[in-house]
Formats: sequence, structure tokens, C-alpha cells
Amino acid sequence: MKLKNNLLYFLLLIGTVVYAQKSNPVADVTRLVTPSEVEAHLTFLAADEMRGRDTGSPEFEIAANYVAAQYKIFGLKPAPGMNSYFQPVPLQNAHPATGGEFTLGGDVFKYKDQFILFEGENMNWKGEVVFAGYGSPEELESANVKGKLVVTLAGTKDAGGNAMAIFTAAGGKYNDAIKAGAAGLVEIFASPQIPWPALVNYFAGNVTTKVKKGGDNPAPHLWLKDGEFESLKKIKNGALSGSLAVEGIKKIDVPSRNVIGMIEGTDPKLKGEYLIVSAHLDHVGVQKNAQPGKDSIFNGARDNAIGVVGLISTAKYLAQYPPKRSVLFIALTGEEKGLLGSQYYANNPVVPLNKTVFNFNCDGAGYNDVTMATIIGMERTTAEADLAKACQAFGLKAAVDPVPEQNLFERSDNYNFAVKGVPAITFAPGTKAFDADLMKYYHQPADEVNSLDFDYLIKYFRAYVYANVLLANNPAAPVWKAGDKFEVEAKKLYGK
Amino acid sequence: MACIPLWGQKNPAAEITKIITQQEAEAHITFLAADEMRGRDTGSPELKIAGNYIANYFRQHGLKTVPGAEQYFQPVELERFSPATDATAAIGDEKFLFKESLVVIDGVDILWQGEFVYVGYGSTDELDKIDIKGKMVLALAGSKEADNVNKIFSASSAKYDAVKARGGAGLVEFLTFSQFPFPALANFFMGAPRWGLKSAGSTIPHVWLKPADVKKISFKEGEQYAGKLEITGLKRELVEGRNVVGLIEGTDPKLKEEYVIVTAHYDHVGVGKPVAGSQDSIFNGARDNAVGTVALLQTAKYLSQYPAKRSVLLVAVTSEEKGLLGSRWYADHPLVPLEKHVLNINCDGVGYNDKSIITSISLGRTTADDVLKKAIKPFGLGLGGDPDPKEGFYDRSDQVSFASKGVPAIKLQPGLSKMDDEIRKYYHRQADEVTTLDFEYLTKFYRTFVHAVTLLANEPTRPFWVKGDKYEAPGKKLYNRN
Repeated sequence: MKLKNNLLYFLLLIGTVVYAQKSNPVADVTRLVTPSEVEAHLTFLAADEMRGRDTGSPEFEIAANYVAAQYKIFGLKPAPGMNSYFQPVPLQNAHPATGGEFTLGGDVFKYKDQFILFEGENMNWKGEVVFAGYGSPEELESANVKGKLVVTLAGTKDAGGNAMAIFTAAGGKYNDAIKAGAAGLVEIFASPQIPWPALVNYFAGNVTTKVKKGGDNPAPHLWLKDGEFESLKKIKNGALSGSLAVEGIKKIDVPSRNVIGMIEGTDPKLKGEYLIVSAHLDHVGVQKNAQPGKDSIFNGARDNAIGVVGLISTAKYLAQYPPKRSVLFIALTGEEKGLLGSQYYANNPVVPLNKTVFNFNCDGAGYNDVTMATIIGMERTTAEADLAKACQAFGLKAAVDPVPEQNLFERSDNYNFAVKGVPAITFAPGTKAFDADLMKYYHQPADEVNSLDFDYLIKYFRAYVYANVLLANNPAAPVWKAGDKFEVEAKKLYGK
Repeated sequence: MACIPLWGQKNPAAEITKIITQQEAEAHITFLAADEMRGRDTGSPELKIAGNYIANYFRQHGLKTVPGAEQYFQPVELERFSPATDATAAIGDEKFLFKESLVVIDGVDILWQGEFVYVGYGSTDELDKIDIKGKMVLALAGSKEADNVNKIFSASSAKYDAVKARGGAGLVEFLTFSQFPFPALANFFMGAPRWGLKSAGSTIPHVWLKPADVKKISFKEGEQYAGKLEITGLKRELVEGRNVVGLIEGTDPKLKEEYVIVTAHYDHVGVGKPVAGSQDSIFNGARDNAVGTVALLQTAKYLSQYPAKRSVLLVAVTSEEKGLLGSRWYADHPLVPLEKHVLNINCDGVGYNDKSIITSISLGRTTADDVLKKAIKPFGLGLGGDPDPKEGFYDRSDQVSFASKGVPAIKLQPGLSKMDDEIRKYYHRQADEVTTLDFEYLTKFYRTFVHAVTLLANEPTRPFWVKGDKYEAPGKKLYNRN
């Protein structure tokens, strides 16, 4: 009798422990994700002393150390094959050319007046120049481009000179031309949507940061202003001789870091599947040429200290309640420079991408609706139900992208995972429109901690943490919904 | 579940072991002593970031702020003193030239003409006998009794205050002490900028002269000489420093009015020249004093969950390396009346070379010792005292700012058995990096430290100086004790 009672008592005890750990994550999330803690992290990361956490700045490095300290406190492990939390990300700043000249037949094109340069080095090149239509692989092949500069029309045959098509096609076309052996690519830019001076300002006026490429010096990639030039007509009938001179380009290495920590899954099988929780750590630094006495620091409390605190809060929770799947936490560098940290990670993953089942990114421009969380890509994967449940548990609606025309899906780090096929979406604070309320803070010195609504944010953080808990424990990994444009890549990646 | 906190209070050692973890200690020290923090120098942006780190840790753990330290920061008015770029003096027929025979210790730019009056050593008796008002006081440096560098400095600085109080135009001293080579002195005082607390009131000149070739001054008390003194290029800038202050209120209705103040300095000495054969120019200050700063953080974490009967103030003090400036400022501008501070526990160290003990530099000087002996037991460390009183460790860190006002003040640090090469290898060197620390030992140290603070903050009787200690008298005065 006694023995039996003791046994019963013991079983009850065990049962209690198991019950406490498994069955009430909403209460546990509420207990572990506290207002004072999230306020402390936000206040540290978005302080003036952090000078806007610009990629390449000492303050960004200190922010990275801060995230690493949190990983260490929670007991996260370095990712497999790494001996620290830091993934080196080799970036490079390119200072634009200061001058240049492109000649074709008898015509002379001046740098900035008639052409801009996307890629290239200081150079002095002479040789043959050929034309290849819109530069499709077939056109490149028949134009016999080897060792020559190749001139094409910008955009594609189907879309013509539509600005979006021009931008989207440029990268691939350049790669195809180089692969075909061309000495460089010259695109004739003719889009009434974008005035030439705006292009010059943007691409020839700013230092650009990119992931550093190894190997040989990159071949030149030019955009030529369309105009009344004889040579642009003549070249369609046959090769011309030409030259390209570029000077003043400076490239400076900017070593940076992604901060990666891991929690191993508890399920013998599912632990081989990884959820990636990501948020970019960088912001846009300090305003140059600010008026004296005016706040010049872009604190980036919303963009994206909030996202980083979402990530830190998730790490804290999951370290105490490890889920079935393994989880990688990645605080990313270089988002504001063009999603560079996620681009580098997606090309150099520390766990094979086909073992990465989902990326749940936390990033936003700010918020103007405190009744909801906005989930960019909400309706595109089967994670939808878990996301709705997580938001609802903390009194928030889960809302879809309010402004698809802004291409938000492609403007945050989730995109670099999505293009590889990994279902990848972004959790953002409630955004009902891109209106004045939002723009008041977006990339402004006013984006400070003291303007945040902590009553709302605590719900937002808890919903994000809980959503990750659900996703990391759900027996079925989320997938793209049928017909999504990334489904094809996903099938390639996962071999299904 | 409700019984666990109660049980924890009865047995704090077990709770401390659970709450104070090695991984957390390692995380904090790694952050604070990283190369990116560039040695946390006074006036640097990195020291501000270190202050933010501490303040937000206090915020995270729900510590209260104290009036006068809103957002956890107590402003400390520091002054950066850039030495004169030129100076000359003429006293009667004697001339003194910048750096060759004259150094400027203090003052402002000045072109002064008038009477110099010789006052011997310029003891207060001598100063009272001779009318110095409006005159430049000419004296021998130090005092009759001062027989070493430190004593000369402190006598000299007391004399300067006495001259100021009596309306003297300035203090000009002949440095007769032969152990100072004059060029070294000139380098020290006329080299890099120095830091101090904002000076109150007027700043009269304080100058040292080399007397070697002086023939035309008679060194007779009361003798006067016409002359002039010119100082140029001297700069004094005000810089705001910050002590980081958090409060954990006591639970006992009576004892909560008594405050235990736990301190650790969070500044270090910044960046210097690279070590030969390496690129490392950063003085990381892992031991000095990231280790102590983290003791403060760990105490905040534990006591925020298990508050003591007494109130506990946690103060990360600034600019210790510039002359205990943060603690001196606090002692002069306490955020609760000083007599309500019953004990200061300071954590600061030069390093460690005995992992079997925790060192209490003040062992034998206060009645806190009995509690310390209890506190070390659960964590397997012994208790060591000051290994080398000649070094003057006690008077060289922040606890002395409290002790000199009478507050019983103890200094705890990782085990130091003697001052040897193992200590000097790291002390104020670039090698004082986090990778050279033994975290298993430090974790024991932290648990012992937090346990000591906990017991002392709960002990019914408050500690006091032992009879005859040099700080007993100010203590009696402060607390109105017999």
C-alpha cells in the first residue's frame, strides 16, 4: 500500500514536471519574456552611443558582441563546424569611379554624362565590340562574344524597357555574358520611368557595399544612356572597334560578421531539421552633413533593434524549453546595404540549406496598427495556421502584407532564403499602410526607444516567440503553398 | 512551488549556485573586455557603452533608480587638464625655464607680477605667521616629515589648499627631494592630459622649481622678492562621467533604512602603444576590472530575486584609474545620506595567483570578518588577507573614498598571495585578456562574493572598524558613535 502510494506520488511528480514543461507554453512565454528585459535590450542596442549600428562601424561590432553575450548567457552552442558564434562575412566598399570614357566607332561616351558603371575596375581596354539583342543566352551565343565587349538592350524581349524588368534582368544577363566569355557588358538604358540624372546620382554618387568576390577583377558592366549616336545604330549591323577607360575606383575591404547560435532539437528525427530565426542587426549609421545641433543618429529602434530583441527573446525561451527541431539563430549584418548578410549566409550556409526547413525572419519598417502583427508572406506557406494561433494567443491579429506593391517580401532577409527554395517569411510589427505615421520614423533620427509603445511590443515579442515554438515543434514542417513562385526552387532544394 | 524561495533564503548558497553561472560570467567579461571596447578609458565612447551595458542589466533585473541617478546614471563632473605649453618664472634675479627648472602642477593661464614670499615648508603654523594674502607663496616642497614620494605629494596638495584658503596668489615650491629626477617629473606633469574632479572655486597656480643653481635666494622665512610668473597653453575642460547606480530595497522595515553599497570600477586605461612583436595596443582590463564589474552584475541578479533585509546600492564607479574619481565624487555627493551607508564592499583586483582563496585586502580591519569567514564555506575557498601591506593596496582603490569618510569599507578580490611576475604579467598590460582567465575559479569567486554580500546585508548587527584602525575616528564622527 505504502509502496504503491509512493509510486503514485512519484508518478504524479514526474507528470507535473512534464506537464509544466510541455503543455503551457503561452504561460511560460509570458513569464520568460518580460517588459523590463525587452526594454533593457532595446535601450542598449538603440542608444545614441551605438551610432546607428552601421555595417563596418565599431558600434556594429559591439552590437554583435552583445548578441553573442546573450547566446552565451542562455547556453546556445556555436553552429556545427564553428568554434565561435561569429560567421565572418567579407564585405567590400566600392567608391565610385571618378572618371571614364567609352568609345564606339567614332562616338565618345563620357562617364556620368552618358554611362554609369555597376561593376568593374580601373581599366584601359581596347578591342572589338559586338551587339547581342537583349542578351539572352541564345543571342549571346550567336553574337560570338568571346573576348569582346557586348552591347545589348536593357530589359528583356518580353518586357521591353520596363524599369522593373531592366533591374531584375541585369544581374543574370551580366553573368550569362561573362560565362559566354565576353570582356564586359554594356546595356543601352532607355526607360522613361527613371530619369538619367537620378540613376547617376544613385549609382555613381554613393559608396556601395557588396559581398567581396574572390578571383579575378570583375569585368565591366555599363549602362549607356540611349540617344542619337550613329554607333548605336551601326553596331546592330556588325562589330565595331571600341575602348573603355575607367579611373578612380577604390575598393576597401570591410570584414563583418553574422552572429549564429544553435539550440539542438530534442526529437531524434526532427533534430536533423533546422528552423532559422533571423533578424538584421545593422542599421544605417549617422547622417552625414546633418545640420549642427540636430540629431544625426539613426538609432534604428524599430529597424531593427525590435527584430533583434525578437530573436534574443526566442533564444532565451527555447534554451529553457528546447523544441523538437533544431533552431539556428542568426543576427545578420549588411541588410541595409542590400541584404548582404543573408545573401552571404544563403551562399555559405553552416547547415546544408536542404536541412533548413523554414526561415522566420523578424524585421519591420515600424508600426502603425497596434492590434496586429504584419506577416510578410503569411499566406504563402503552410505556416499560416501556427502564425495565426500564436498571434491570437497574445491578443493580436495576424495580418497579411498591406502593400504588395512595395515588394516588402523581397526587401528583407527572408528573400535570400526564399530564392534558394527555403520557405521564408518576415514577422513585422503591425503595418496597415505605408503612411505618414510610419515614415515619421522609418530611417529617421526619430526612430528612438523612447517613442516605442511597450504595451504593444511585449505582445508582439511574445507572439513571435510563441510562433517559433509552434513552428519548431510542429510535426509537419511548413512548405510553400502549391503554385507559389518559389515552389520550383523548393522542389530542387529538397528533392521532392 | 511557493516554498522554494523561502527555502532559498534559508540556504542562499544553493540558490546562488543555481543563479550565478559560469557561462554568464564568461559572457559578461567577454563583452566588457573585448578589443572592441578599447580598454574602457575615461572620456571614451566605449566607456559610455560599458556604462549602458551595466545600466541595462540593472534595468533588465528590475533594479530601482535612485533620485540623482535617473536612468541609473549619476553624473560625475570630471575635468580634463591639458598641461601648459610654456611657462617661466623670475624671482628676484633668478630665472626658471619651462621643463628645465620649472613644471606646472596646477593652475590656469596667467601673467602675474608681484611679491614672492618665502615660508619655509609652509606648514599651517608658518602660513598663519606670515601674511601671504595676494602674494605668491615660495616654499620647500612637501613637509619636514615627508620622506617619500607619496607623502610629499599629499603634503604638497594639502599645502596648496591651505594657501588657497588664506588668499595666497599661488604656490611655488622648491623640490629639494633628490630622488625625483627633474626631467622625469617634467615628463609626467607636462606630458599627457590628466584627469581630476571639477575644481571648486578659483584655480591658483601651483608650480615646482628645481633649486640646483639657485644662489640669490636666501631661504629666510618672511623674505620677499619681486618677480613674475607666466603660464600659457593650459586647458581645463569639463567632461561628464557617469557612475551607474541601481538599488535593491531591503525587506526589513527597519534595516531597509541602512544601505550596503557594493562598488566596482568599470573603467580601465584605454589604448597604448603596441607591444613589441605584436599589433596589440589595447589594454583590455579583463582582470582590472571587468572581473569586479561582473561581481556587481551577479550581485544585482541574485539580490533582485532574493532581496536582503538591508537595502543594497550597486554602484559601478567611473575613472578609478584616473585617481578614484568616481568613488570620490560619490562619497562627496552621496545619493542617500552618507551616515545611512553602513558598509562599502568594493570589488577590484590587480589579478590573481592563488586559486584556493578569495582575498580580503581589509582583513583584520573591520568586524565584517566573522561574516566573511562564514560566507566562504559553501564554495570551498579560503580567506586571505592583504599579502603585502607595503604596496598600500587598501588606499589605492575605491573603498578608501568611503573609508576616509568613516564608512566601514572592505575590498574583496580574486586570490592574491603575493605581488609576483604572475600578477605583473597582466597588471595594466595588453595581455590582460579574457582568454587568459580561469572561469571555473572565477565562478567560485563570484558565488563566494555574492554570498558574502548577502550575509552582510542580512546580518542583524552592522559592521564597524576594529579598535585602533586609522579610519575608526572618522567612523565615530560619521555615525556619532562613542
